[in-house]
Amino acid sequence: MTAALLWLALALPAVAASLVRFSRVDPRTAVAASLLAAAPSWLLLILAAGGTGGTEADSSFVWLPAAGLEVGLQLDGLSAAMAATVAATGVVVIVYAVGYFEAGERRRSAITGLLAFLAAMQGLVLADGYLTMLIFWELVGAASFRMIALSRDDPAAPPAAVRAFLTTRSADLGFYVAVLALFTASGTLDFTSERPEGLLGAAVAAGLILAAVGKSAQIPLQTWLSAAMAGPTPVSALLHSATMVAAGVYLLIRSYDLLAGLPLEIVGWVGAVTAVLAAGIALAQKDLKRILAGSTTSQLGLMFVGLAAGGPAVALFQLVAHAAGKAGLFLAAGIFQHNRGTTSLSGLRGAGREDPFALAGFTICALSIAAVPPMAVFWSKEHIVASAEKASEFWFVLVLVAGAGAAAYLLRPLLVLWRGERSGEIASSGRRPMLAGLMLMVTGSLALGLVGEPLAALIAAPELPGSRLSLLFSLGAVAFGSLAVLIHRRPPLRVSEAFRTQFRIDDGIGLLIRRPLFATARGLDFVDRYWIDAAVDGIGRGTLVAARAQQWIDRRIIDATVDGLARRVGRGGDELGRVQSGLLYEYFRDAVIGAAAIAFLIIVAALL
Amino acid sequence: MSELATALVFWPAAILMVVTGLFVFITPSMARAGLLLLASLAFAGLIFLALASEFLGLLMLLMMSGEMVIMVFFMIMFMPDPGGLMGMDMVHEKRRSATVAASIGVALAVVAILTDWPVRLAGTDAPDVRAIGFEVMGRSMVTFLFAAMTILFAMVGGVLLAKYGGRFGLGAPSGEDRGGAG
Amino acid sequence: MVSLPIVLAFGAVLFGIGLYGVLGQTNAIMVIMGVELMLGASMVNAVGFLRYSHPEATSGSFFVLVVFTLMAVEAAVGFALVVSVFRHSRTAEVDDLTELKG
Repeated sequence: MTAALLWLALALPAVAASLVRFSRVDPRTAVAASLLAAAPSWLLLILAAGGTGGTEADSSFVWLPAAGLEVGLQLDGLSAAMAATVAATGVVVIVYAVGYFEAGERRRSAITGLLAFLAAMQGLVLADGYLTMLIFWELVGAASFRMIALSRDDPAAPPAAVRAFLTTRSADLGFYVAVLALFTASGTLDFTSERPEGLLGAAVAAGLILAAVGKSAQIPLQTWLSAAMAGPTPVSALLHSATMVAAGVYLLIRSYDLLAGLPLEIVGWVGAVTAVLAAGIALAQKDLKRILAGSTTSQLGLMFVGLAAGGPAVALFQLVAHAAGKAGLFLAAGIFQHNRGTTSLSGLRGAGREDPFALAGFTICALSIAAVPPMAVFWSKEHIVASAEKASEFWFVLVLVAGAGAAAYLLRPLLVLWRGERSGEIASSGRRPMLAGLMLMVTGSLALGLVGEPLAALIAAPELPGSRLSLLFSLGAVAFGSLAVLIHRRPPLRVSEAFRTQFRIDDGIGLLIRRPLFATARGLDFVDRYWIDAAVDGIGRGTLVAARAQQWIDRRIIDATVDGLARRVGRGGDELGRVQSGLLYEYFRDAVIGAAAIAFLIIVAALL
Repeated sequence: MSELATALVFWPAAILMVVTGLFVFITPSMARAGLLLLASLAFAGLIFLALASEFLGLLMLLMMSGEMVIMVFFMIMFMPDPGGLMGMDMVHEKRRSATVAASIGVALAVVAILTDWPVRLAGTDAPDVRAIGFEVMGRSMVTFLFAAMTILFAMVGGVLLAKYGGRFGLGAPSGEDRGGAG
Repeated sequence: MVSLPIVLAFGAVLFGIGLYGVLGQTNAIMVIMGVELMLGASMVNAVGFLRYSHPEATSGSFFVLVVFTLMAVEAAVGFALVVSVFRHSRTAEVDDLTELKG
């Protein structure tokens, strides 16, 4: 039962994707397909919740028996919670996408891609070991590539897709290294395996962290996420806020025991630094979706810190709560984009006034992400603050700064949306599904604050570390951030520029990687052209000469012999042909002579 | 018939037969050639009589008189110069043909003379017509019937072949003389 | 006097004459006549054997009868062929009939 449900959770979205691809997608089919695809995941959550915490059910088939490699799915509290989150976000976004895209090929393609992504993501979170996870990890990356490149008319989309794919893909190499090292050391790829000693252990930890950093767009690999905003907004909402980027956090949560010690500390530092810097990046952006992308990076950094300082429950709670809020923000941004045809802040001035519903949804979700009570993230961030305080003063300060930054970078677009004058009409097409999706996310942002304890119970984690004091700290940070934005709206230009360009990390990467790469390529080209090509050409020339000699021999000696023979045979044939004159008496004469000859022979034989 | 009588009839008949047979292929006239062949084969009939085969000899004379008359008709029909008045040479490759024919004939004659033939006591008369009749209607019935069937088929086949529109008649050029073959 | 070798030699001479006719004559009718002569020679041979070797055998006479038949059949079919060929190619000269030429 459970095993079947596990495979169904994976298979139904895939089947639904193929069905949608080859059908005319009217809204009802799409919603039905998404619900169908999501249903097993929710059932799984109920099953997992029904069992006393830490229920596990496995469903594996052996892939390489000799090597002991298994590909399988498993159900436990963590995977159930993740699967349910992914499925819920997926359903909402697909409902939203029905309204966002106009009917036609684009919509069909988008919904197909979203469903396929769901399938891959469910496989990732339900995987029962690093091998399965790696397979779906790659599929998620590929799905992400396809989805970012969906708006082909936009010249920015294909390069953004390539950048996202290449960045995550390069980081994925870390995952491969980690998997290989782990398998070499322990011969198993279970989540429960322990970190090996020495260099291999370092490779495992470093590889996993690198993979997570790449997927979750942490510094210094964060640039692809803001570039990925070139994709359609529903795609951003699903892939780049709530689920795909969360895969990195999920990987680290899964590997929590494996990473214990120094690696976890590194994770915490990466997360803390990213949280602050990404908040700055978000603050400096001039485009709503890019602000949200920076915010996502920052929030994921907070999750890293939460994981490092407070354990899986803290990070998971933040992940779930953030998923609802950030997806809601993106959905609202998509509605504004629909109304105004742009997502740049200058173009969205006053957009909230003409669309109060969307503005309300945006505000509630923004309050949630900014950790204003009583929204969801307020309750989850509290635990991060508390655990960071216990773990390290530096992290504590950085988390608080990031909290203040969150308040600031979300207040800025809110003000922009609120101020300014209304201009133009509300686009009515597809409004109802879009608003429905937004409302669902708003509900999630309001309600998910309650799931902290149940989540901790579900994954059998110790008590959440939150306290009144940390609540106060968190609130203080929010207030500070808001005040800072209200008082000093424009940060110094130079700082702003640095943040907006993301510290020219891309240029640095260019300097560090692209230049040597090109230099090597040029060197190899030289070798290829002047050494290898020359050798090949020489061989070719030699072959040609040999072939000519061969040809001469062939023509002058062999052919001549054969031709001469043929000519002589032909001439002999002509001679013989004269015998066949067609004249009966000649035939008869020859027959008579022949008969006489035979008789002569017989006589001679008889006489002898 | 006695030895002497046999010799008296055989030798002149044999010589005349060879001469007339030779002249068949020497004379330029078709009609004459036909008649000479008739004469030649009639002398063969005489030889049969001399060699005590009265039945065969008479049959030969009878047949030749009929057949050769028919043959003359054909000659007159198909010869370019039936009368031999134009002095046409009707012979080709004269020397080679003559050489081959002469050598074959000489060889056969030499074989005939040099072979030590088993000779029975002469004098016994050949079987009479009655015996031949019994032979034909008795022991050799099947062979005789076969010969009869052969003749029948030859008649039918000959008619089919010669008939206008037969084997070669279908593709004949138009304007052909329909009565040409009689 | 007459004996078997003499008769056979005479038959051989006749056969040679007939062969000369078959090989040398240009006209199909004359060729047929040559064949007739050769068959006649064979009949003379048969009669010679009949007289000097097996006088009492009726099958000898019968053999000659069969050759008679053959002669008649040969002549009939041969003439029919000549008629047919003549109609086709307007000639009975064997030199002109070279359809079998390779």
